[in-house]
Amino acid sequence: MRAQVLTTAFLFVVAVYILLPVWWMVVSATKSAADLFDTPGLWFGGDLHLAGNIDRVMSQDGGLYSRWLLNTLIYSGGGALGATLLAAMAGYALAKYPFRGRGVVFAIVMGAVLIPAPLITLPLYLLESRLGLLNTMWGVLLPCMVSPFGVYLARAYAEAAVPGTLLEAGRIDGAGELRIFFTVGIRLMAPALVTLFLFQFVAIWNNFFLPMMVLNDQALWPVTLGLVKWHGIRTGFLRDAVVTGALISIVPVILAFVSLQRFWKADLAAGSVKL
Amino acid sequence: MGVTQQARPAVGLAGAMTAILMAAACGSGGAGEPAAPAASAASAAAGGPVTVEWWGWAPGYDKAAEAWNASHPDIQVKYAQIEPGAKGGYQKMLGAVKAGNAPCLAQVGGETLASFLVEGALEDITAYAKESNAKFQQWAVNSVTFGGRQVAVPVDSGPMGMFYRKDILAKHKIDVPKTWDEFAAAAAKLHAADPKAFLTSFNPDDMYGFSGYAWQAGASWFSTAGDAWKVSITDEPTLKVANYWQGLLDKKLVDVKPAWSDAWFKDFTDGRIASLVGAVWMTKVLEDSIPKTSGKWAVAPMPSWEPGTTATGNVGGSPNAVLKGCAHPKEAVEFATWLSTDQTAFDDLMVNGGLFPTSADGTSLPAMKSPRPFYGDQPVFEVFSEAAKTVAPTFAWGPTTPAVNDAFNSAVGEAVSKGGTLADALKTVQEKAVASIRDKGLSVTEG
Repeated sequence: MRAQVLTTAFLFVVAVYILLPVWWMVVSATKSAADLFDTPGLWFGGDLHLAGNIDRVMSQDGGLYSRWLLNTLIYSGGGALGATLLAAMAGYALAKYPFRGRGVVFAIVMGAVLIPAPLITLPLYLLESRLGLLNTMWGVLLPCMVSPFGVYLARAYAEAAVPGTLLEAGRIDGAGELRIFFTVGIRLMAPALVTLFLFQFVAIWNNFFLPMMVLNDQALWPVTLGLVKWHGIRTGFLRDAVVTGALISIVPVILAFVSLQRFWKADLAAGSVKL
Repeated sequence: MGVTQQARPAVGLAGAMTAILMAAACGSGGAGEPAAPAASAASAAAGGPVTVEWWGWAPGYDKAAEAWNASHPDIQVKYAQIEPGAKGGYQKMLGAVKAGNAPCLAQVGGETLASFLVEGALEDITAYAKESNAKFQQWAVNSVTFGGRQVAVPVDSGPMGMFYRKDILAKHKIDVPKTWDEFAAAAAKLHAADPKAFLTSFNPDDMYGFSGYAWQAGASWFSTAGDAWKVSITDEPTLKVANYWQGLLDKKLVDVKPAWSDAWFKDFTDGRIASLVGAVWMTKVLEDSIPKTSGKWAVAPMPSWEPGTTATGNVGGSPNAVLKGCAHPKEAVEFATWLSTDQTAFDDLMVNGGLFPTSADGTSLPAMKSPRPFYGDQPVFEVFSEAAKTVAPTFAWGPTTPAVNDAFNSAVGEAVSKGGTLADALKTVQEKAVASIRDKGLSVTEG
């Protein structure tokens, strides 16, 4: 009982610590530029200015913000879909097909998990420069579709959740390997794939360094680059736009989590029943 | 440029210089050996318009490129706005240089030029720039010249001045301080009259602001002697500045706040900080950040060390550098010179972007004379344009500014919060600065 109270108290403190900046952002997004520094940071200012701020965000730089938001959706959605599909196929193959060099391939994938992404961004940049991918959407999308951690997760899950006998039955019925994967394998792996999709979605959403290196054209930028640009401008006060833009930019991520979390719950429940 | 005893001479200063020369010597197209008479002929004779790519982030650059393109069909400038240098823009430029697709021209802060030089990322533009250098203030040309070789065209500068609250000083019958001694006396008088108020604040995390004070006093933190860097962060002028602020800190006569923090701006709004000795670009920052105090501010020259003399420090300024591999350095320099010295072009930059000119006749720009309501309709830029004439020409940055900045923030921050002295903190900064240059494989001496 005592331990339970302590745990709850500890989690409460952690929650406050994590949520305080979010609260600050929500409050600040409702303030006019004049109130931003002139009123206490954690409570609302004199008048609610949220609509005016949103208007400012949407009209600044000729309305580029909505374009940035759309780009981020394309990068995150497209990149996460691609990464999920590729990781599912690779993980499934590593789990279910015995072939020469399987251990080596998996070891290389595991090694790649340990390499932080910023470290390979420069070599990636040089590579894309040769391939003519710089300053294109593909230059951001393609690298985002590779997720070593996703392959690891998919393999572990496929090993446990896809019974070999089921695949055998499919083969006896005359289904090809691709068809078995898409009709049997991928469905059994769905809970893990939702997790993987969400992870990758958020990772790409927050990504800064890769698009910063690859993209020149502001019309191709994701939200992260745009907000940093606005934040870096000392003259022509934009901090109200930065804060409000940041608030708007997390809404889709929250929506993605809320709408996909029931699959997550199903995942946890499924696991507990099986064990 | 003799042989040095360091392990990797190729990346040393001498190496960088040699690399610049070699690149210029074997470059293709018009980028011939700088002194050769044929240097300018090739690209001009090639026919068709020449395209110069340009990367930067200063506000107003996009419009400037449009204006140039409309009136110069032969040289078309393709501008791309990138992230500010410290937020990744510099990494992007260095990456592009490595990939061989760098833009011809790029905005590189004065504090970062030397880093780019030792990375071998800059072209020598001495031959193209020397004729137009008379159009600039001499110290600005010095700041983009290393070992006699010019690598960039100056754009803007940040001469310092004193922003102060007229109403607060008047209320306590305090004269506007003209010297640092008077400034200290005023700080004591104000704090005694109103214990909640301070004459100014000290920002332990603002190396650039502090460097401006040291610059004014005649410091020279970095220099080159032969093929070695010399680091002098604990030189006599810098220690004088450090001891001065130490005195104010010890007597608790200054507010201590992180620069750019909410709390800092709030203290300005609430009248708890009555002045700020800072660069010209703070003019607009104050106007935008603390609008509620509009009309109460004014600007005076920076306090001086000796009565009757004037010397000014400088904070900031981003020249346009010609990056390695540029096929049209002559045209790039031509455009960059126009941008910085054309009266109409720079007047627009001043209005749109708040940039302060480095050109010799920049003081006659129309925007200089515009009265500003925030400062009670004082034409504040006139104060700065006078100050710009007295910017000390000695100060220079080294090749590892980010590392020095980190060292300053941690050492000075600790000294202020835990009761050490600024002078001791600067010794630590000096040691770390020397180590950071040595770590790059460059030879370095302490001075």
